[in-house]
Amino acid sequence: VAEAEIVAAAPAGRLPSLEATRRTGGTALWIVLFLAPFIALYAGFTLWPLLATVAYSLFDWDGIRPLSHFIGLGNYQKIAADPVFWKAFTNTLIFAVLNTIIKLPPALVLAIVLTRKWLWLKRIFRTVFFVPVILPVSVAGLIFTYLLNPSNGSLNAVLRGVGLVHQPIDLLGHDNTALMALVLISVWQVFGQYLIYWMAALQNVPDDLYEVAEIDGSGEWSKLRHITLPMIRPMAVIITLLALVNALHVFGLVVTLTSGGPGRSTYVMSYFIYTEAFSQIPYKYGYASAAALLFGVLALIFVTTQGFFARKAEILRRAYGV
Amino acid sequence: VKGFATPPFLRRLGNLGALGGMFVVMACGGKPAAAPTQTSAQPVTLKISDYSPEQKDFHKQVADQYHTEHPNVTIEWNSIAQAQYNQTMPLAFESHQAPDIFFWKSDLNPVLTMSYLFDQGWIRPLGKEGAVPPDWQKRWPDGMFVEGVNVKGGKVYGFPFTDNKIWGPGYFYWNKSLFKAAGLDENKAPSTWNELAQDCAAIKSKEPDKFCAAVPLKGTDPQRWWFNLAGSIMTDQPFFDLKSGRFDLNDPRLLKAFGYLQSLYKSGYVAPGVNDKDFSRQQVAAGQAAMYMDGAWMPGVWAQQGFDSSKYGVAAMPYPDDAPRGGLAQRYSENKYWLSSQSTHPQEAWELIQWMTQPDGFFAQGYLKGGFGTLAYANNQKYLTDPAMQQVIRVGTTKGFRALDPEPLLKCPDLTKSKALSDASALHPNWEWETITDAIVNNKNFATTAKEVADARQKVLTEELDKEKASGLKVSLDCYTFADWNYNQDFDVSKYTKQ
Repeated sequence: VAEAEIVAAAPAGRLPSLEATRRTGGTALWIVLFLAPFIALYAGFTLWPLLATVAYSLFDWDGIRPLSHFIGLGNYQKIAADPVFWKAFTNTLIFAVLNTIIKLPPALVLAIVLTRKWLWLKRIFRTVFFVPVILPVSVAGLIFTYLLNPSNGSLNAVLRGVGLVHQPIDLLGHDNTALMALVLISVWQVFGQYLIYWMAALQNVPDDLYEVAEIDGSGEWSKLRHITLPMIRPMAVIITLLALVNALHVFGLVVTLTSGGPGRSTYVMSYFIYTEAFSQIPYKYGYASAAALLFGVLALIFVTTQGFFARKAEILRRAYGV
Repeated sequence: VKGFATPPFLRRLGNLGALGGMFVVMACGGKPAAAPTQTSAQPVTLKISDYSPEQKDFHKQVADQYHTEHPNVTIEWNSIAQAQYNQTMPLAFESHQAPDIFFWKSDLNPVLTMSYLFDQGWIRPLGKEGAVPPDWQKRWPDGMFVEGVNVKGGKVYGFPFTDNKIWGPGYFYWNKSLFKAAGLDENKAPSTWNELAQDCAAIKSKEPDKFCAAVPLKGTDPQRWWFNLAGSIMTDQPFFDLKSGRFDLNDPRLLKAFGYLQSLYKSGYVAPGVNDKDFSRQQVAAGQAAMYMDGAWMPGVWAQQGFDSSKYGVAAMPYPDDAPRGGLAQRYSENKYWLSSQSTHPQEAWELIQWMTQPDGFFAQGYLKGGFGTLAYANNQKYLTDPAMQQVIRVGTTKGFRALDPEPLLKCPDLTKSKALSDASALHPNWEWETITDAIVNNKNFATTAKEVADARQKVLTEELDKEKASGLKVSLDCYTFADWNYNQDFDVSKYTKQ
């Protein structure tokens, strides 16, 4: 009765507002309820480790004894003067940039081909290109270890068989080729993933734009230049930055194929952190945490940049009405 | 009248609930609740952990045999890969789920393993508070129980497991069929560096599609050949010279050893590629490469790969032709199985250790017959029936092949509290191996980088020792310096002057 009175007494325009408030309250409860598991997991598996890493990086800690030897920024000072860290840092950037430059354009070209209506057996092609993505990195590493081995690997057998080389080529055994070999192997493995990304982007382009262009007499090249590429630009920004960030985390291939060698020519950040943290007891958790954090900052810069470009891309997307 | 019967699905549900409840109880019970018990006829499960997965079948036999002899004791022996083990064991202790007996050997300084484990609080004394029966200690040669190594404050904490005279690097292996095909005597190994190079030349000329030597260069695997070459001309102590108290990668003798290895590579005698040890071993077993250098464990490894000991030979590593011979290092480093401080059945675990260390017992016989290694407390010659292992024993027991190195810990007991050497060695852990591989495959100047590595480590060692000395520890560079010692002569215990 009281509620009915309030409703009756309320100005006509306020009634939906009360309902809306009630609805909003209920919705908010559901939002909190549904978000709670994610927030708990995010706090436990992302925020907490991040904060712990910050704390560990300020200690000389082996990961086992009590966290007692506070050294402030000592680990960071050591890292700043550590040539191996900078070698790994530079290699990681080279790897990420080369990997992105090499894998994205061919993946886009192939995606354009695979989205043509006239093409038969599209699904088979997509599956073929996607298979390396589902292979575990360790398996991919083993495959290429044997494939590229200069003693009895298939690549050298073929090259020698056709008379292209007389001495075996050791792509993973020389410091001027090892990193590039890793880049190419990585491209081979993740190519299918980016092919799918590009195909998704291409399928977002409305068909009626192409139909209008055809009516206007546009050719394939013209449609590509004036419709396809501009329309997928927003997605291209995201795909490119995603590719860069993913490439920064290279680890498995380095472990299985080169162990950072020969020498330190294929040291990357993740491998450097792993080696410092775990390769010898007593572990150097503190030092490795500081390196991990610096690497995290690098990745964060990329992610932040991604956010900036993604926002621009979103504006573009709206402008195109897709 | 039939009584009320629980429907089967409800029974299953009840069982599941009970099982779930058990898991919850197990999961919540972080610390072991039971206090250490005395031996009793109560059922006891002893957990043992190590990183010898190749011995899993043998461990099962041991567990079965022990259970037959001690029906109340069940052994759960868990063997995993070393890298995984090194990471999980600290977590096991941290979460109070440590096994009763565990395997541990410090990589940086094996002699300090007990000291390290004691500091962690991971170990407890053997016997009754460290007092062990004299008869048990007599299973080892005199001088094997040393204060600071496996005894602390008079209490015994550990025991030498692996024999340290035969076990270790220093062995040259060759594929007989490739020697024969090259016109070489299939039963004669090269005894000098020059002879090895000549044999390689013969193999290369007669068998151009094969390789003379399989030298693994990936990660830390250059050690397989390096320790042999270094020990033949100087010492295989990992990059530290106890004569001069210095990190020694740039010592002229080691530079010479490196130069020799590089010359084999440049001559095309070495199978190309930055391969790991498993690949290189397989190359020899498959007849793609003729020579390999490694440790006493190879007959066991090759037996598992189906490479029969009649197909390969074993000899001491070749020595340099025109330089004084060095010696391989024998150290007090083979204390490996430890009684866990978290064991709830320490008495039963100690009884198992006594059983395992019976010189003619089931464990010793099976371990030796399986070719898993040589034991410090057993007659290795008697039970190692494999001809290749017999030859390994003959080589290993040759005078001067391996010499008892001076032990800095016995000179300066405070070194058990020192972190200086481990800090110095931990500076970029794989630096030496990376430098060796890089210089070989990329044909770089080794001497300059070797000096850089040695100087950097020495700087840390000196600085840390100074700091520790200032804090009151009786440590100095002199603790690591034994100028009057020769690499291929035993350093007598009477020579120590404690600081």
